[in-house]
Amino acid sequence: MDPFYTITGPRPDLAAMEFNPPEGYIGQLLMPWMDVSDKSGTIYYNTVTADETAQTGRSAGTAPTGTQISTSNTTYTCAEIIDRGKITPDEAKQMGGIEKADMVGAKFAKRNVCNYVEGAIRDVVLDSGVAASASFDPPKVLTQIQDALDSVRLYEGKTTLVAATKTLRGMWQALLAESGPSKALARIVNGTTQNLNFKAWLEAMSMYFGVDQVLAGDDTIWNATAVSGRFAIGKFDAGTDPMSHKWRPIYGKVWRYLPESGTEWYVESVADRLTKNNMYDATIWANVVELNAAAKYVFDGVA
Amino acid sequence: MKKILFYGLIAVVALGAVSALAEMDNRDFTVSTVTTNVGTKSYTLRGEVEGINVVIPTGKTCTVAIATAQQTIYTGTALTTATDGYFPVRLAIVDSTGTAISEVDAGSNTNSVYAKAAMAGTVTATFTPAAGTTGTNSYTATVIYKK
Repeated sequence: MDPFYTITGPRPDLAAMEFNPPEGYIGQLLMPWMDVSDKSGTIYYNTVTADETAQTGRSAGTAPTGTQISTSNTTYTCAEIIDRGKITPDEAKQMGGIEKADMVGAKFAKRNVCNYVEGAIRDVVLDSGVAASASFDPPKVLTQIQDALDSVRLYEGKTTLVAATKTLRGMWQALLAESGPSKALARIVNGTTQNLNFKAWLEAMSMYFGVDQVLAGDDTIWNATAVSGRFAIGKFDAGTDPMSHKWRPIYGKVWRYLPESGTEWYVESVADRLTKNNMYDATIWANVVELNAAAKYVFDGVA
Repeated sequence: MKKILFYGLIAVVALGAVSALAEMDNRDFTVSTVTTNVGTKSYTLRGEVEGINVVIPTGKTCTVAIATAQQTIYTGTALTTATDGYFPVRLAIVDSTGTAISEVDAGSNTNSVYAKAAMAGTVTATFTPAAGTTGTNSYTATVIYKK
């Protein structure tokens, strides 16, 4: 193998390489992957049919009044999401050889693709560019949270509070400055978790607000300027059933086109002897699809 | 058990201390707008306004308005770096019929009586750049208040 240049062509080895998304990525816990074999198509999904008053006093022989329940539908189109990393031959030697450089280049490209998908999920979950449903009010946050939980109660999934890590810290800061919430939070932390690391605070927050989980997102993505100070309460599908959207009213998923069955990534490397560079391209085809927008309730106003 | 109680006591004291000392506070309302686009920022605040500090970028002109859920408490028209700064805002007070309260000084002059503005709800800062503003600009208004 050439010690300075990579091989040119598809790299299933790099595509299959163990790769953990950067710490703090929570997108797939909110909108799990939905792998498909067609780049575009129609999605039939379940939505909420409003509750109605049950019937009484029905006359014998008369049919009960019925409400028609049906699925909704929308379309998806998986678009290319690609990134390229470049490593010169001398840098490849510095990294310990071309095989190591291959891994560095592929990981870089994959990470940036992951960043993009995480950002796309953030934009829909935190309603980027759309007015929030409510403004965070620390002394009245419990009734605010209950309003949010009431609005999403008919949807299915884990009840979740999601925000950037900095936003969660800002919420804590504001709550601790209020005489009422600070006493309650102190009792929760002291009486149950008995330690003061950030994970303990998240567990305390989960108990205080009455949600199944609190997810802290990477600040560089989840605290971007357009959504700074926002958090959302919602019902988010855990992704255990790939067909859950057909029979459960869930928030949404990320449709991902797999050109080859079992391969999530398409990775290729190019040895470019004209520009004297090694290039690594990581590609997926995906579409973030929000199915039931009302399964979440967005707040802003956290300093 | 003793160690847990000890750390628990520290946590209670620490959290209690935060509450007791949190009297004066400040909130930055910062927007980044393109050319003449209006920018707004809102937070929920409660307390008495001590003052408002406005920062306008060099070479730009902007009208800044701060409104509580109850009323507009400050409007700075066409502010520049020469005219921005700290404004210890006070509002004229009224009696139970809504009539302005005034007092007559030793020189028989009638003067309005002023007091700090109260906030209890959503406070919104609105930044309106002047016509002809170019580029992307960041404007800040800091509300300094006592809880």
